[in-house]
Formats: sequence, structure tokens, C-alpha cells
Amino acid sequence: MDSKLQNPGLNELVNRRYQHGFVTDIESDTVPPGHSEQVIRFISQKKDEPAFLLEWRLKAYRHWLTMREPGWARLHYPPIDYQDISYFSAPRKTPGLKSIDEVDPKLLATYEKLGVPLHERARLAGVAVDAVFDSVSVTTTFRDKLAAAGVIFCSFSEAAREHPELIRQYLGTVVPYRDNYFAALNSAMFTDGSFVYIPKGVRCPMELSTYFRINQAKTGQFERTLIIAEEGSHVSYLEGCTAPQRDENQLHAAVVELVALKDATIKYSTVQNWYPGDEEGRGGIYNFVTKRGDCRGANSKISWTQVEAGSAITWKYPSCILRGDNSVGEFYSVAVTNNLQQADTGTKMIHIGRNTRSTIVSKGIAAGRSQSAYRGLVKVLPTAEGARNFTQCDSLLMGSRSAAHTYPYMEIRNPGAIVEHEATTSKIGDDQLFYCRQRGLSQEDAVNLIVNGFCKQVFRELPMEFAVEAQNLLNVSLEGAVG
Amino acid sequence: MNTGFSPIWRDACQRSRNAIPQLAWLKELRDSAISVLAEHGLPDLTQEEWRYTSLTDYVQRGAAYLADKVTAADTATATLTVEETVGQPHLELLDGLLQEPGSGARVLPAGVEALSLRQLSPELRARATGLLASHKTPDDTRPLAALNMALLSDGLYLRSTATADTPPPPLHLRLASSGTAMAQPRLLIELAPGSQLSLIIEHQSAAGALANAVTQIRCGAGSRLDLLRIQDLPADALLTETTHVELDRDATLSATSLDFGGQLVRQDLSVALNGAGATANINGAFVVDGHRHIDNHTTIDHRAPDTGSREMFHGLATGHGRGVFNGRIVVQPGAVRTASALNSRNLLLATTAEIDTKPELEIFTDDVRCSHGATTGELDANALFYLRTRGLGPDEARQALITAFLHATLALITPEDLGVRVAARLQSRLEALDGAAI
Amino acid sequence: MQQSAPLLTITDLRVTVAGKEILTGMNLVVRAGEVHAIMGPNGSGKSTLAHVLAGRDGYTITSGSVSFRDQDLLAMEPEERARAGLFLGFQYPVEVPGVSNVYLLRAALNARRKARGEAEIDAAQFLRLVREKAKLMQMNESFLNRGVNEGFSGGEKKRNEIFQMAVLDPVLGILDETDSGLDIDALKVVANGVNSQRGPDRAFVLITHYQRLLDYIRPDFVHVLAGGQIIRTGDRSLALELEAEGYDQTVAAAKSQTQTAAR
Repeated sequence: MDSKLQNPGLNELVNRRYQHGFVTDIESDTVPPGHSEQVIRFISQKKDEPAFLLEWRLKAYRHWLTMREPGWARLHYPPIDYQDISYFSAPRKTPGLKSIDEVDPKLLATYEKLGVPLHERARLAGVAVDAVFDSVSVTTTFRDKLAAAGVIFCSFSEAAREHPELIRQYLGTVVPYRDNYFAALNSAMFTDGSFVYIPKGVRCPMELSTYFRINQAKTGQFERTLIIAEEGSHVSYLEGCTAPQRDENQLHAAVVELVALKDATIKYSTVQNWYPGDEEGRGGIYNFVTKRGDCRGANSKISWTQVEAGSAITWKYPSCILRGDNSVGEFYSVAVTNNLQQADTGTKMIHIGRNTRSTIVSKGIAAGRSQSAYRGLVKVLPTAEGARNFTQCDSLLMGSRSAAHTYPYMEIRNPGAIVEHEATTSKIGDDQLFYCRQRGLSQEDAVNLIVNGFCKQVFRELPMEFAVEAQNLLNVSLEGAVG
Repeated sequence: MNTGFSPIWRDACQRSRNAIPQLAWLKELRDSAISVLAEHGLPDLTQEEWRYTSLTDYVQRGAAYLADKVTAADTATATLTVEETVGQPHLELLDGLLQEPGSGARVLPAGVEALSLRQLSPELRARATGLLASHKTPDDTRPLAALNMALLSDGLYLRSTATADTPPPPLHLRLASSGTAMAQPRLLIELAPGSQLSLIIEHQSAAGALANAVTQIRCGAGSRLDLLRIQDLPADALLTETTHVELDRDATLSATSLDFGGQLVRQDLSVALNGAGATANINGAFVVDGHRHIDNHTTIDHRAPDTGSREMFHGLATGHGRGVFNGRIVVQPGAVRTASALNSRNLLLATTAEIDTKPELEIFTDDVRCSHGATTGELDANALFYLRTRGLGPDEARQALITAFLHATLALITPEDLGVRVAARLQSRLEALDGAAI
Repeated sequence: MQQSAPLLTITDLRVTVAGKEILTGMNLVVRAGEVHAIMGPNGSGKSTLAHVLAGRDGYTITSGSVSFRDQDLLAMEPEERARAGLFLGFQYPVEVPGVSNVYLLRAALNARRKARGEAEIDAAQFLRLVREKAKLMQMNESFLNRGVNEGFSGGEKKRNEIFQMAVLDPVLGILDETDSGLDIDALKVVANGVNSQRGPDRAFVLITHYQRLLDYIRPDFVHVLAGGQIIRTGDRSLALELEAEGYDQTVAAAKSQTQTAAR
């Protein structure tokens, strides 16, 4: 039995509006809109950061001021006014909470509505949750169990205070602040995020999970995540996003850096469901994310799995630098767009070490008047003797006004490399629909069934509870797309 | 933005604007070309369409020619030794100027007329203007076509009314460069509805040549064009080439493009399937050895229902060569029941060589079947071993596999005997390959 | 045999496809417990009939009616027909990549139960049912977890159709050229699957070109479809006659009889 495809509540999920659209009324500590060195100093001071971090932020900021917003992606959106964004907001009741009982009840209620009963879910599923509410980490569970294994899992701010040597050693080594416009902005302005350190030889005893939410109007969110897997260690990290409904566009520019040392494995899974805007394309999150993993040691492995269903604009290319010999990079992606959503997403696999291998499986589904683009780079340097890449990139179009694009870049400089790319674009076959209906399924169920089948290669890479959530998300996202 | 379009270029464009009285009818088109250049400049690496190909040497050499105030119009008497293609009708443009038929040329096939742009009647000028204005190439390549428009001193207008009952023999067009000026060859080709034409376009040049060719073709309803392009220029020749083909209802294009020579060659081939039922089959092969750089950019634009396209490029890179392939398939809204397949196959034989390939799909309608694929790798070790168990030496076995790889393209050339002749040429080319890994 | 109430009644059915009339006034009554074979030359309208009964798009019904268990079949959606107990075994079973056989079956079974106001099938019970039917069809259990018809051979697809029919338990099975492309061993398995499902409450319509299938599934009635209508009806011996003499002669003879009768 394939339980991953069981999907009982399907009908109820279809035909309803974005369910996570509500706003929690909590007083916030917000700085006025606008960017300046002063704002950066304020953020750094607020977080009691070491001096080197402030210096790094300021260098990033000065560099960012010299940069121009990139225009090569196939995305159309009105210009972003960076002076109209508030760069810091924190719930009034700030950290220092000893137990979950101390958390603002309204906050807990918010998580309930989102279907994330924090303590329940955490206990039942054995998942430690570091919940980021807007910009500041509110509570962290399972700290003791993780601590016993020597695993550090905390907010980025806390890590900057408690483990400055690790931050100093690794921050910006995978995604330098000069890397791109949005990464530079994040490096200057990031307010919080998650930090994970897995010591040598340790297999992290549980899946690590963070729920990000944007809750403050006109609040850009700039998380910074850093995961370090020491020699021979193993970690699986889950990231899920939902956001309240808003009419004004919100900017989200996160940076995620992964470092895998010799024989280490990092698995990073994302379900992204930021508010996508309404049927007419009003509102919705602008999601400009830089995610990159560095397979620094031999035999290391980094695997990205993402289900991208939300956001008005998605600009995201989780990548792997395959530096260590025999290292492995994977990218499994489902990107769903509906109404007027636009997604330009894919990956980069940079083969440097010998016998490095990468696999890319991308499934794009475009419905309504949306645009979905896959953009991926496979680069094989002359040193990457024996490198292998396989890329499969399929698009499914629903409705005659949607569009799907595929832009694979392959830059090959080693003759011993084998690089293969396959792509198809099609719609759901009338004969497939009829066949399923002849067996008794409704049109809607038949569509969901076929779409889930189309995405199966990616879903099976997700941890079980995420896989179910991802399927539900897909069905909700495609509501009314066919028929 | 005004990259590379320095005063030398501007002055040359202004000079040629009124240089040839017989081409005064082009004035408006030339003026708009000059403004395109003033606005966009010449392509550079910062543009997405040019990320793998630098025109620095090209622009420098062009500026040097222009600084000598040598324009193509002055070099009409320059001669070039070219092998005669015995027994075949042929026409030649030398540095862009249509040459009087030589002794080796036979009369044009029945139903085919060919005229210099300088000799067009008012009626034909109107037709030619329509073709000259047919530009649906991506913005980033348009400056090169505009440069040709601004600087051209002649061109060929060719029209076929030959029908299937009397299929004409292949017509050989030679685009030759003397190496003393920047050539701006221009071809305008029309196929009347229901007509047929088989064309061989061959680039030839002396050492150090520089050319910027533009070809515009319109295939009328139900017509059929077989196009073979051969580029085997000397190792220091620079060539840019922009070709745009429009197909009306049920028209068929079968094109083969071969690049074996040159220092830097960039081809932009765009095909617009404007009419329902139009189809395009495009095959290409390129060999980059030495320090050769060959860049093929193709766009097939499906603009009408029931259109079809198949495209396959084979690339071989060795030595310090670099091969670039960027194939784009676009399916416009309403172009339902489009079927399209695009493939890029590459052999990379040296660590100093590079292949950059980018097969793209842009799909704006749901009722389509589109696929693309790309592979890059070295010779199949199993196949090599198999051949050696049958008694071939290692070099022989490699040579056999390389030949087989490129011959996949030649096998598709029509008519067949032409394919055989081209294959013989390719074979001698491969035997002389300049690459350490062979 | 005592006549039971009709399951399916086709009355003067006329169907056009892209402006061309394919069924030209078809009549047929199928009662519970009966097995009907519809034979005919290529292009006689056999597959059109199967598709129209299952509710496929692209067919225009210009006149006539079809009632199924006293309901107006032509007014129903394809899935409503399926839930009412009509099963079509496809001539060319469709591949649905990534969707496992068991998942489709379970979803189909539950859709039907839900339509009848029944609870969803219990997982253990479902598994027992599926295993039992798979065994009947001599299908390896690994097939159950593979994508629907994905990468199946022609014979495996046909066997899978009969397996699905066995699980879904319809009252009327319409098998469209189920015998085509089968070797003799596969044909026996398929026939055995159908025979095991015969019973007083269930009927079958076998659409076939060759009488070979009828050696293994004995029909109660054999109809000859030509030019979009049934021109002759008989018992099994008619199938043997067709095989011996070919369609041309039978069709010509039937036509001249009709013409004679008309005079």
C-alpha cells in the first residue's frame, strides 16, 4: 500500500479560500520603515551581537548600496521601494521563556489555526520546533534531548551570542554577502533565523523543524539559517511556511547556508506556502531566497527537497557546491502556480570534486494565468573527473492561459563527465481523465490523482508528515484549475 | 547603453547611408537601423543572449577595417580564389556584392529569379522592403542585423515559383569575404505559394576575414525549402550570421547547418511558424577544435495551431574549442496541438575544451506535446571496447565513433547525393582534427 | 431461461463523430445474467458504441435513448455511470504515471461506496479483496504497487483491466476488444477472469473482431454490427459462421435480405 498517496480530506480541501489568511493582533516592537546604517546598528544592538557581526553587516550593507536588483529572471513585478520596508519587528514578549506555558496564548492559537499544535505535534511526531514568529525566535523545544546528543539547535541570535566562534568561522562562507543583491540585503538586515550544529559522528536524533510566518504588515522578513554538519554526521531539517493574508506585497529575502564536511549528510526539506495573492494577483509575498549547500568534504551529501506552492513571486535556486570528491547533490522540486503567481525556480549544481554526482528532478505545474519557469545550471569544472548529472524536468499545464518555461544551462568542461537532461511539457491527458472517471472518480479527484502521480518522485523524498501536508497544499493551490 | 558602438562605427554608418544611389530606397530602413544601434549598441557579455560569446575581437577587427575607410563598395574588384562547383548552378556574393555569373556557372533553374538589390524594379523593391522589415528575432541579436542594414552595399533578392512538378536542382550560393573589408552579405528569399527551392549557402573567405551576414526568408503557403548551410572558414575568420525564416500555412522548412571552421562564429537562426500546419526540421553539427568558438542560437516560434518542429544539434569539442548551443522553442497562446522536440547531443573530448548547452522551452498554451533533451559526455566506452574486440585499433575505433556521431546529421540532408558529398568533406575534416585527445 | 428485467436498453441510437454518422440506429437489450458478443468488421462502430456507453466526450448523439437500470444513461457523467455499475474494459488501457494500481482501485471503490451512502472500505478487507482477485488473474502482487498500466506490456494491461473489473464488481461489463493482442495463454487467463464473474445478476457485452475469444467465453447472443447497426442476431453458431465465411459475405447476405424484406 502506498500510504503517501492516501488523501482522504481531498474534497473538503478543494474549493476553499486560502485558509491561513488571518492576522494575529499582538503589539510589535517595530522600527520605522527605511534602511540605513543606523537601522543596522539598532538591530545588532537589540540582539546583543558581537562586534564582528555588526562589522560584517555594515560591509554587506555598503556593498548592497552599490548593487542593482537582478532582472534576468522571467518575473514581472512593480519596483520594490526598499525605503518603504520596516526592517525590524519583534513581538513584545521577547525571549527568555522557560516553557511553552509562557508563550503568549494568542500566538499559540495562531499555530493551532495553522494546524501546527506546537507541543502536541512536537511530542507526537518527535519533532523539535523552533518557531519563528516574524523575526524573533519565540520558543524552542526538545532542547534537552538534542543537547544530550551534542546538537546545537537554536535561533540565529542566540547562536551569535553563545557560539560566536562557530558563526565567525562559517557565516558567509557558502553565500558571501557579495553573492547577489538579495543575499547582500539579507546579510545587512537579517533579524533572526535558525542555527544548527551537528558534532562529529552524530546522527541527529530527530527531524529538526522550523515554522516561519510573516505576521506584520509591511515587514520584510530576512531570516538567516546556518547548518553545519561535522564529519560523519547526519541531519534532516524541515522548513514550512505559511503567512496571513495581506493586501500589500511583502518582501521575503532569506539566506540559507549549509556546510557538510567529510562523510556528512544534510537533508533540507521545504514546504513553502506564503500568501500567493488573490485571484486578481493583489497582494502576495515576494520571495527572493538564496539557498546554497557546500559539500566541503569527501563523500558528503546535500539533498534539497522543496514544494513551492505559495508566494506571488518566487525566485529561488537551492544549490550545491560539490567540492569534496564523491560528494552528492540532489534537488527535488514541485512548484505549483495558480491565478497570477510567478515562479522562477531551479538549482545550480557545481561539480568541482572527482566523481561528484547530482540529480535534479523538477516538476512544474502551472494553472490559471500563472507562469512557472525552471532555471537550472549544471557546471562541470575541469577538475571534476567522472562527474555525473541527471536532470529531469517536467511541466504540466492546466488551462490555456498558463505558461511553463524551462531554461537549463549546462556548462561542461570535463570530458569524463556525463550530463543528461530531459524535459517534457504537456497537459493532463483527456484519455487519463476519462479513464479515471470510468473507474468512478470525479473530475476533480481525477485531476488531483493525476497531479499527485506526476509529483510522486518528489513527494517520496519528503518526510512522511510533510508529504501528506504537501499533497493537501497542492490540491488547495490548484482549486478550480480544471473543469 | 551604447557598448562598442563607437564613433568609428557611427561614421561608417553615416557614410554608407547615401553612398550608393541605387540603394536610396533603403534610406528609411537604414535610419531606423542606425537608431537601433545608437540605442542598443553592439552585443556584449552582460546580455543573457551573449553570456558565452564575446565579440571583443570582432568589434576590434571591424573598427580596424572601418578606420582604413575601406568599405565593401570600394572592394568590388577584389578577387578571391574559390573552387568552382562544377555542373551546379551557383551565385556568389563577394564582400556582400553580387557577382556577375562566371564561366563556371550555369543558368539559373527554371522558376527561379535572382537579382541584385541595386537592380530591383519598384514593384520588387516593395516586396523586398516587406522582407527586410520581417524581424522577429530576439532583441539582443537585432543590433547585428541593424549593422548589416546600415552598412550593406548590395544584396541578393531570390524568388522561386518552381513547383513540385519541376523541382529545381540545388542552387549554390557562395558568401565570400576577401579579408580586406567587413562583409555585410544580405539575402532575401521568397518562395511563392506551393513552390519549391533547394539552397546551399556556403561561407568562404580569405584569411582574416570578417563578415556579418543576414538572411531573410519567407515561405509561402504549402511551399517547401531545403536549406543546407556550410561554414568551413579559415581558422582566423570571424562570422556573425542572422537568419530569419517565416513559414505560412503548410509550408515546410528542412534546414541543415554545418560549422567546421572559423575562429569565432555566431549564428542566430529564428524560425516563425506563422501558418497552421507549418513544420520545421532543423539539424545541425559543429566541430570545435584548436581555439575555435562556435555559438548556435536557434528559436523556433510556434505561432499557429497544428505546427510541428524537430531540432537536433550534434556538437564535438576538443583541443581548446568551445561549442555553444542555445535552442529555444516558443509555443504562443493559441498554437494548440503543437508538437515539438529539441535535442542537443555533445561529445567533449578534452579537459581544455568546453560545451555550453541550453535547450529552452517557453510554453504559453496547454494543448501541446513538447520535449527537449541534452547530453554531454565522451565516447561510449562499451562501444569503443566492442569495436576493439572486432579488431579496430583504439584510434580507429574512436575515429569511427566520432564519424558516426556527426553523420547522424548528414544522413538527414536532402537530396541524398548532396549528403554523401558533404560527408566526404566532413571525413577529411575529421581526419585533420586538431585536438590532443583524438 | 426465464427473462429477467433489462439492465441495458439501447433504442434507435444514432451517433455522429465530427459530422459523420457512425451509429445509424442501433437497438439492443441486455438482461441480467446474459453474455452478448458484438462482432463486426473494422469501422463498423464497435468501439464508438463502447465509448458512448461509458460517456466519452467527442460523440454527438443525434437521436435515440439508452437506459441502464431504469436510468437515462446518456444524461449521466462518466463517473456516475461507473458508480451505477457500468465498467468499460478499454481497448487501449491508459497509463497514469505515478499513481499506483491499488491507490486507483481504492479511490474508485470508495467513490462508489460513498455514492451509495456506504462507509469506506476497511484497509484489511480491501487488501484481502485485492489479493484474492490478483491471484485469480495470476497477477504478481508487485503489479499492484506499480503505476497504473505504467510500462505494462499489452497483455499485462488487458489482464489489469479484468482484474480491476473483478475488484470493482460491476453489474455490466463492456469489454472492448479485450482479446486483441493477447497470446493464447493470456487469453485463457482473461477468459477465466470473466467466466468467474458470470452470474445471474451480472451481464457482459463483449466487443470483438474475432470469434477466438468466444471459444473461451460462451456468449448467449451474437450480434453482427455493420454500418452502424445490428444487422443479424443469433447464437454462438453465428460467430462460427462469420469465421468460416468472413464478414463481407455475411454482411452482403444480411443486406440483400433486408432489401428483399423491404420490397
